Amino acid sequence: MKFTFNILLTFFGLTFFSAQNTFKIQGKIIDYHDKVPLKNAIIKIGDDTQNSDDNGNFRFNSVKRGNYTLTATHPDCDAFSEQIKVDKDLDIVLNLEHHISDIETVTIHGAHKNTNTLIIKTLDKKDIERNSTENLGNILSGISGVGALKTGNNITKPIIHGLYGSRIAVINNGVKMAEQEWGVEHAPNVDVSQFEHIDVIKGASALKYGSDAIGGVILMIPETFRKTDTLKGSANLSGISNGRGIGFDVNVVKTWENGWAVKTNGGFKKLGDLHTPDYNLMNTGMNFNSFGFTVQNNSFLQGMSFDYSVTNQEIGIYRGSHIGNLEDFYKALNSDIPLYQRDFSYSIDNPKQEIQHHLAKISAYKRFKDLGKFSADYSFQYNHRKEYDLRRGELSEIPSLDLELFTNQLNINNLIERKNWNLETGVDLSYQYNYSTPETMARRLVPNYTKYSGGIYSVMKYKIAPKFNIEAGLRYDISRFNVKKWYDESVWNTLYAEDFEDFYVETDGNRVFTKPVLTYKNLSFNAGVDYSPSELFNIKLNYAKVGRTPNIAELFADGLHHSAAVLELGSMRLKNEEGNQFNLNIDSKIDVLGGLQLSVNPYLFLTKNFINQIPTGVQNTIRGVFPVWSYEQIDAGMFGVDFDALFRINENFTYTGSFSYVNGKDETNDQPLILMLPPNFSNSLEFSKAEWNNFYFKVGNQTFLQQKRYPVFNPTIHVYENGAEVEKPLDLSTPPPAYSLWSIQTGIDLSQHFSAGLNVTNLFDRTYKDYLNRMRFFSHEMGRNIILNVKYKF
Amino acid sequence: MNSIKYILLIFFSLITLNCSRADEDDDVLSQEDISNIILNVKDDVTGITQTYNYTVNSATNPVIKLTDGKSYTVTTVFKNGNEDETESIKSAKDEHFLIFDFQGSQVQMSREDDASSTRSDGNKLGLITKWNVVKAVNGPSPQLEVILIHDAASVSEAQSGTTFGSVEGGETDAVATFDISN
Repeated sequence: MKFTFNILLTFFGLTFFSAQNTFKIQGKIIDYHDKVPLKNAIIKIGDDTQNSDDNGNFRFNSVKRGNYTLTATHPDCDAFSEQIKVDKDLDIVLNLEHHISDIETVTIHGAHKNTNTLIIKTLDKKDIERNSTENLGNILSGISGVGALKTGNNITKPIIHGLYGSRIAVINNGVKMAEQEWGVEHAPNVDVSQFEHIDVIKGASALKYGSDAIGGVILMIPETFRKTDTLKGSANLSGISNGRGIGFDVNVVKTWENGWAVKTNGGFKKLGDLHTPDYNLMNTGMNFNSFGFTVQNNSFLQGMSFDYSVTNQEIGIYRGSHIGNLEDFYKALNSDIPLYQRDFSYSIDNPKQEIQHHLAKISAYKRFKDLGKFSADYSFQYNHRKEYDLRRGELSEIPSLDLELFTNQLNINNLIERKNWNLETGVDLSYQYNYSTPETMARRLVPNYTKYSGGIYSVMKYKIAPKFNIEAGLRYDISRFNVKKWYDESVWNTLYAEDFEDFYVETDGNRVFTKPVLTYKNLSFNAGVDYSPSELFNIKLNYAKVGRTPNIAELFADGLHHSAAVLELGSMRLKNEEGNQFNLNIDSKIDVLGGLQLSVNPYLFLTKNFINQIPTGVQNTIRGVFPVWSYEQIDAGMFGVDFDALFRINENFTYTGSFSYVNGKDETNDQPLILMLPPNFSNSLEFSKAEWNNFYFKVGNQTFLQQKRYPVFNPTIHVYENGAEVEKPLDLSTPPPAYSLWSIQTGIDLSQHFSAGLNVTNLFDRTYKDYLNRMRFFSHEMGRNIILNVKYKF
Repeated sequence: MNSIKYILLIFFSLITLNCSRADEDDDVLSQEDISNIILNVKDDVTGITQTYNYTVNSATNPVIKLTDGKSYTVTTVFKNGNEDETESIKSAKDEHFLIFDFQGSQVQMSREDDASSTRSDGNKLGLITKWNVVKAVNGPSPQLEVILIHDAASVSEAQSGTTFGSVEGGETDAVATFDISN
């Protein structure tokens, strides 16, 4: 790592003798932010040169009276110089400053020098660049233990260790994304190509990011700019065969030596109907565009930045998935060929989603010599989600779901770093307002509400011995929902009238208006150890006790889910989820050929009051009979293991492999948890040769076994066959069979500025279904896809 | 620290500007939902019309009285509360189709729709039908299921077993069950 230094000086002058011509100068060089002595710095006064020792001390025994230039350099640092006047003995403390990029990126990134007990996997810039047209869910599913919950191919939500939605926090440049994440068909609104790397923290231990994220945290980290006068940028153009799509992203960065930097970026992607190996998927196109802007001025001591980003998406939902009731579902399941077909088209009709997400953030930090680094981040997010269904006549122009979510968040954080310990303490405040317009002329799926929440946290890391670190964190959260909710009178009277009469406002016809106020409090803590007996071996163990507040859908959902043909019902009686988690991670390096790295991460989650959706009855509606799925609380147990291997066979060939397994069980009802990632493994072999213009060629295979553990929730329907009523079970539970996909990826630098890459996924055009794709009932997965991209960098 | 102060100021000034919208307390009525399916059954000989009103979620089904050997002209009306949805079905006629399933009842049915409820593919919606009753009670619990289908890929008026009309794809917009007796 290359450091660039600025140096600050503090002088503590002591006068012992007044009538002499030579003086002693002694001093110490320490790191400004953590007070650690720096060894091997070269200090020069006039022609004399000294090196700092292991304790950072240096000493000049005889310096003549006069004015000198003091310079200090370090093997990894820029030179420093300062004029000094020598007319007495001097005792100097030099506070050296690390380069800003080093400090900023070590906060959590596992690959950097900071040691901590969190289990982190990183998707680096190279991985992002090679897959620039993919969405977040798909790109992260390359990491062991991480999967994607899909609705078609364009809507994907990341799953970490079997958990998704509100149980995962997506942190976009320090801001927790607030985007109706409760919905299974609500994907994160981010442009992945605008980030430098993405860290995935597995498990609940990163309390700094809230206690709700019991599955894990996805940290999307933008580039940290160097303090040089330069203008750089890139433009990347991709052609996508499946969906006949095009992707384009561009970014331009201007930086100045005085710490100012301005970056702007934009992205665009268009896809038409996707196709399986055998047929077109009608209405599966998408339009995506994004824009981002950053201006910042950062130095070691202080900095501030303003960031703004927006994404706009229009996503078609496979036409064949929109069904009216269970009989329609039965017909769809028993049809081998898709009922809806059209020639390839870019047009996006109903059903579809339109989502706009704005994020603005202003942040500042300042370092104090003894009090550490204080930072404050304020962010505003506006998420506007419109979902269009197939509706009659003019109503088809009006979304049947129209949600606007306004989120304000404030974080104040203090980080004190010392040689053997560091302490991070902070406060989070957030204010959220959700509005759903009555102009949809369809019942609200979630009610209007205001949510206030606050949290305080403190995380202490302590280095007991050079090879042994411990970490402990504590967090307290409080959330309050002020809700405005209409119930059917019969539902209100049956479920809530008696216990929640304070919330009652008025009755209008057969509807009851209520204003529930719900408050949730959570105390979370974690503790971990990190032990590295040698450079070849590292072991991490952490334990976390966490609580998650129910989300708005779990509390109040009330409506029909068309693509699932279920009525979803929330429950105001839900309590916090309370989980105990154990994560172990063992990394080892074996010195064979170019080096073999092995990593194994077993884990165990035991959760009380785990909020789970299960069928609880049927309801007769004008569209027919629907199963009602209600949110209920159970005791859940989950365990699993992730395994990773990286083997450098020689300087050109690298093998990577991974395996993951998760087992989830509903202990209350003694049955498996639904939608657990099937056991899967991947293997790839890459040939790369820097001398051949950075040429690489990679062959990969990913295999998903059939999920054998699943709960059986098969509704029965009544159909008339040959004049007689027949009962038919509807198998909505059995997961699809195992499948194995091959892919190739290659790329080369065409010139100093141009590079090109080629990706082929599902190389052999395999027909398959994915258990975690909610469209699996209606269609197969995408067939072969060839993506060619050309990149220009300057 | 100045900038930190400003950030705090912005946050608290925004948080005190309590967001709200004028209509946030309003209930939303589902406009496209259908609450009632009404059959007006006219005896072709006497000219007397009997009305049978199926209301969603009601505990009992209406009982249609039919006499064997008679013929009836039946108009089907869809309502959402007090609003007549039949017109909106007609105005989007290419998106709709009715299926009639006489279970345990032998009735010959034909569609008599005029141009206002005939699809551009030539198929008639079924808002006006003619029933020739062969044997009204032809099984243990005779009943008629009327299904309104929305946005089918293709439709056919053809009879299959006891069912008049069939569709490929589409979703069920409304379904009503009527009991049949003599």
